[in-house]
Amino acid sequence: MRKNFIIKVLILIFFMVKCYSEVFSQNFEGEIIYDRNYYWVKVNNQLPYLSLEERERMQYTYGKKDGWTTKMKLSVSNNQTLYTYLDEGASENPGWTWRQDEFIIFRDLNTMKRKELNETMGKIYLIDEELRFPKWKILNEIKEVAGYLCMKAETTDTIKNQKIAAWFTDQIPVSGGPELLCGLPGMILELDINNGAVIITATKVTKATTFKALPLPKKWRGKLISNIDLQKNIQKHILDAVKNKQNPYWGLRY
Amino acid sequence: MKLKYLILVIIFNCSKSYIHSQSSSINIQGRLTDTLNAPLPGATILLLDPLDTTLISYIKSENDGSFNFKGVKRMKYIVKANYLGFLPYMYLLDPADEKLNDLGIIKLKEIASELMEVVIKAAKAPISIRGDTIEYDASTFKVPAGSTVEDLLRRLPGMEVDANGGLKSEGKDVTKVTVEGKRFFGTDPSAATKNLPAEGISKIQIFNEETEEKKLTGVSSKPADKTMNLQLKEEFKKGGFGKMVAGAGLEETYELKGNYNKFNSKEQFSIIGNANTTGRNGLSWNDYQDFKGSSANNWDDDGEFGFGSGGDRYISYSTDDDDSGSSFFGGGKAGFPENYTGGVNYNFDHKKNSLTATYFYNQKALTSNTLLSGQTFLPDANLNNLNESLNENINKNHSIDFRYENKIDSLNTILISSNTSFGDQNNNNSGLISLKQQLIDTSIISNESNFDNSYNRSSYLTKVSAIYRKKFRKKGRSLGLSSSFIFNQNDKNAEQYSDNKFYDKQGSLDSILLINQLNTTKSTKNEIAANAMFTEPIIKKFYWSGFYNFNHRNEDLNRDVFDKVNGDLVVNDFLTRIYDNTIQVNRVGSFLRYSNQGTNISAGIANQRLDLNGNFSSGPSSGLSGIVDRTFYNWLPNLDMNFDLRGNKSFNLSYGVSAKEPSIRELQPIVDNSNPLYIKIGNPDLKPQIEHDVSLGFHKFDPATFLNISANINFSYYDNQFVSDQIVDENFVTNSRTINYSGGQSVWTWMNFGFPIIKNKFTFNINYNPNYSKSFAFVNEIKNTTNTLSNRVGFNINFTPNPKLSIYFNGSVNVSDTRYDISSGQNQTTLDQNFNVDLNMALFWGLYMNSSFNYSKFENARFGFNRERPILNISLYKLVLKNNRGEVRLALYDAFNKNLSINQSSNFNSVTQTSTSTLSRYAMVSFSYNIRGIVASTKKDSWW
Repeated sequence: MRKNFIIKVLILIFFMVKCYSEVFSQNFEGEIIYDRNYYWVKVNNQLPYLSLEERERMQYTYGKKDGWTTKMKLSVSNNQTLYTYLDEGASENPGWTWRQDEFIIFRDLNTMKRKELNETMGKIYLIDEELRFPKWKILNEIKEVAGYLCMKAETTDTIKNQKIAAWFTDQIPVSGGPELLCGLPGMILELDINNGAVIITATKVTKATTFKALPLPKKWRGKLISNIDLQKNIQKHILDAVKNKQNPYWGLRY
Repeated sequence: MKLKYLILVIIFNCSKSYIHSQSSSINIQGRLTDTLNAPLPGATILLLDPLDTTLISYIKSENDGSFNFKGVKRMKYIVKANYLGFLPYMYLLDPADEKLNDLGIIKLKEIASELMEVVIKAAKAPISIRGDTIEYDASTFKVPAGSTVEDLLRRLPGMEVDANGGLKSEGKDVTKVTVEGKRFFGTDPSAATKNLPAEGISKIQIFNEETEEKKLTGVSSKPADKTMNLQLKEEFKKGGFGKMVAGAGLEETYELKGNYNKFNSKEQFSIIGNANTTGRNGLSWNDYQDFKGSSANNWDDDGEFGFGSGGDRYISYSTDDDDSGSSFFGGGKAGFPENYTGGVNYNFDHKKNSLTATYFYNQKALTSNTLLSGQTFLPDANLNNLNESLNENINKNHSIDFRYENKIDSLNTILISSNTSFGDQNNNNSGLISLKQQLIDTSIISNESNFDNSYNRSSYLTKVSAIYRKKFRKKGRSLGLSSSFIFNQNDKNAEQYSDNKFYDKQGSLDSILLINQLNTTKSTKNEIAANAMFTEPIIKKFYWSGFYNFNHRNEDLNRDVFDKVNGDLVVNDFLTRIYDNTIQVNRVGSFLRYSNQGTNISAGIANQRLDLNGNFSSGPSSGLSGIVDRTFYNWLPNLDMNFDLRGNKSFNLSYGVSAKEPSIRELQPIVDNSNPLYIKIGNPDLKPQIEHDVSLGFHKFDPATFLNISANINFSYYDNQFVSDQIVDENFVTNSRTINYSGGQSVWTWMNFGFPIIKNKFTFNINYNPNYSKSFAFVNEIKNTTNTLSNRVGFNINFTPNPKLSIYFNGSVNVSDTRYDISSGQNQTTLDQNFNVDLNMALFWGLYMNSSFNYSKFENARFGFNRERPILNISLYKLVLKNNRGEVRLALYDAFNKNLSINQSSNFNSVTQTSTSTLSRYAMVSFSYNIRGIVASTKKDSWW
C-alpha cells in the first residue's frame, strides 16, 4: 500500500511537472522593451508628391541626421499583451518632454479580443472588438534579435501602402507583437516598415518568474469606433493630404 | 481532487486523437529527428500556401518529435519545420487520395556552427536559406577602413579567395559578379571585388540560376557555377548633381546662376556662383541647402548658455555667423544693382567626426539716385528739407568658415568653429541739401549745402569658438562649457566736402561754412566670452540648472581728422578722437525646471553685473577728454511655461527681463558734427535700458480637417528706455542726444484662423494683427508722447481646382493711427493696402504660365500722400530635353513700368518721404538646366 501510494505520488508529480512544463513552454510571462526608430527622411522620401530633386535634397541635407528613437514596452501575461510607451513623453534630452499621442494596445489571444486607445488625426479613438490576424507570408530567412533566433514573415498594409516585415521567434510561444501586429507562431521581436522607414526592434526581453496581471488602464476614454471605420477615415485622410501636398503622417502613426 | 484533475487531463489528452474529420479534409503527420535520429520536440511545423507562402496553420512537435495536423483542408501545402539551430525543412505536399499523408521521418540538418556563431551571433546578420544556398547581409562584418570587397569576402564563412582573386563559395566557383544586378567592368569577377570599397556594400548574395519554384520549395539543383551580386548601401552611392540658369534681357539686365555638387557617403563638395544686374537675389533656401548639404543646419551651436538652453531642442541654421548665409535669401534694395557671388563648400561627415569648410565671395554694387523731402514741425515754424543725392556703393567681401564636431563618445561632444571674413567697401555720396523755413505764407531759405562725401573701408573679422558638452551616467545630469574669441578691425578713410550756406531771417546770405576734411578711422574690437552651465535632476521630473556667462569686450578707436587748407593737411584737434572702452558682463543665473508629458515649466533668476570703462580724448589743443567708469547691477527674472495638450493644442506663457547696455557712441560726450545741421552729442550718464516682456500663445491644428487657429500676444514695458532729446537752435541746427526715460510700452498681437472651404481646392486663411505702442521724445525740453494704434487684417485664399490651374490670392489692409499729445496737429492716420495674385496655369503644347500681380497703395491724408504701385510680372515656360532637364522661359517684369521705390515715414515732429529710382520694366529670356530634372507644377512648393 505504502509503495503503491509512493508510486501514485510519483506519477502525480511526474504529470504535474509535465503539465507545468507544458504550461510554461506555451506561456511567456514578462516584458519586452522595443526601440521604435522613426527615420523621417526615409518616411518623407516615400511621399508620392515630391520631385526627384526634393527627395535627393532631403537625403543630401538631412540623411546623416535621420532617426528618432522612442522606447516602447510590451507586457505579456497569460497569453495577453499590452503595448505602450516605456516612459511617457521622455525625449532623448532629459528636462524637456513631449506629449505623446495616446497609444495603448491590448490583445487577448485567449478570447481573440482587441482593445486599444489610438490617437489618430487629433482624436482619441477606442477600438473594442474581435481580433483578426493579418495574412502573413512566411519567408526563408532567419536572424537573431535580442538573443532569440527569429524567422521572417511579411504582410502588407494596403491602407498606408506599407510593406511590413516581421521577425518572430517560436522560442516565445505567444502570438503577440509590437504596434498593431500579431498572429504569428511566436512573438514578433522586430518590425521593419517600408524598407527601414520605421524599425521597431526588441532590445531587452525579461522573463517574469511570477504571474503578474497586466497594468491595464483603469478607464478607456476615447471615441468608440470600429477598426473598419477607422481604416476608412485614415484612407481618406491620406488621399486628402497627398492631394494637398501635405505629409499625412503629421498626427497619424506610421 | 488532484486525482480527478489528473484523470481529466489524461482524458483530454487522449480525446485529441479521436476527432473525426470530413472527407474533404486530410491529416498530415511526420516525425522530426536530427541526423543522428534523436527526436526534436517542441519544433514549430507550419503549413503554408504554396502560391504565396501564406501561413495557414501551425503546431508544435511532441516529445518524440512527432507532429500531426488533423482535419486540414485538402490542398497543396508547403510543410515547413523549424527547430532552433537547425536549417528549416521545406517540403511541397501534394496530398494523396487517402486521408492520411505521412511524411515519415524528417531529418533536419544542423546549421554549421561557424555560420551560427559568426554570422548569426557575432555579426547579427540575417541569413536567408534557399535550399542549400545561404545568403547573408555582409554590412555587419567589421573590416578595417579602406578595405576592398575582397578583404571582406575573406572573412565570410564558406567563402574562399585564392591568390589571383578567384572566388569559391562552398566549394563552387563564382564565375560572375554583378553590382546591383548589373555586370561590372567586363567579365573578370575579381575586377569588382578588388576595386570596390567594402564599406559601400550592404549585401552579398550568392546564388545559382534557379527557377522560382525551386527557390521556394528548396529542392536543390545539381551543383552549378555561382553568381555573386553586390548590393550597394543606399547612402554610399556616389553621385553628382547640379543646375544652371542663364538669362539675358532688355535694360542691360542679365542673370547667371549655377551650382554643382559631388558626393559620396562621407564627403560632400559643392560649388555655386551667381551674377546678375537685376537684384533679384536668385539664391533660395533650397540653393542654400544644396550648397551647405549636411551642414545646412546644426543642433547645439549656441554656446551662450542661459534660460531655456541646456536642452538640445534648438536648431540653429548656420546663417548666424558665417557670411555665406547672408548672400542667400536677401531681398533687393532700391537702385541699380550689379552683384557677383560665389563659393565652395566641403563637408566631411562620418561616424563621430564632421567637418565643414566654406569659402564665399560676395560682391555687391548699387547705384541709386534718391530724392528725400522732409518736413520738421517746430512751435514757431516748419522746416522743409530737400536732399537730392547720388550714391554709388560697392562692397566686396570674402568669408572663410570652418566647423568641426567630434562626438567623442555617447556622453562627450566637442565643437570647434571659426568664421573669418574680410573685405572692403567704397562709397560715394554726393548731392545737395537745402533747408527752408516755412512761414504762414512764405518760405525762406535758411541753409543750403552741397556735399560730396566718399569713403573706403576695409574690415576684418574673425571669430573662434569652442563648445564642450558632457552628459553623465546619471540620466539628466549634464555640463556645458564654451568659450569664444572675436577680433574685429575696421579701417576707414573718408573725405568729406561740403559747402554750407546759412541765410538770415530775411533770406540773405549770412555766413558760409566750408568743410573739406580727410578723416582716417582705425577701430579694433576684441571680445572674449566664456560660459558654463550645469544641470542636475533633483527629484523625478524636476531639474535644476545653474549657469554663468562672462563677456569682456574692448573697443578701441582712433580717428584723425585733417582739414584740407590750400592743399595742406592740418590736424583738426576738435574733431580728432581717441577712445578706448571696455565693457564687461558677468551674469550668474539659476533656474528650476519641471517636465512631464508635454508640460514644461521653468522659472529662474539671474544677476548681471555690467562694467563700462572708457576714456576718450580729442586733439591736444581742444582740451576735450574724459573718463567713463560705470557699474550696473540688474536682476533678470525669467519664467517660461509650455503646455502640449490633447488634440494638437498647445499653450505657452513667458515672462523675461533683458538689459541692453548703452552704445559706446551714446556714452561718450563726443560732439559728432559730421552733419553740421544735425549734431549728435553723447551722454555719459546713460543707464542700461531694461525691457520687460510678457507673452502668451495658443495654437491648435486639426490634421483631419486642416483647420488651424493661433493667437499670440506680447507686451513689453521699458525702464530707462533710450529716448531722443533734441534741441533745435535759432539757426535750426538740431542738437540730439539720447537720454533714459521710463514708461514706454508696446503691445503686439497676432491671431490666425485658417480652414478649407472645399478640401484641397479652396482654402481660406485670415489673420488679424492689432498693435499698440507708446513712446516718448523730448524737443526743446518738452516731452512729447506718441501713441500709435494699428490694426492689420490679412488674408490668403488658395484656389487650386485642378492640376492645370492654381490661383493664390493674398492681401492685407493696415490702418495706423498716430496721436501726439503736444503737437496734436500732427495726428495722422495712414492706410496701407497690399494685394497679390499669383496665377499659374498649364497652357497648351506643354507651355506653362506664371504670373504675379502686386498692387500696393499707401495713403496718408494728413500730408496728402497717396502712392499707388501696380507691378505685374509674367512668364511663360516650357520644359525641354530628356527627363525634363531643361527649361526655356520668357519673362516680362514690371509690365506696367511702375516700379519706383517710394517710402514715407513720420514721427512726432517730422515727416520724410524718399523716392529712389529703381530698375523697372524689362523682358528676359532664360534657359535652365537641371541634372535632376525640372518639375512644372502650377502648385506652390510642397511640404513635408
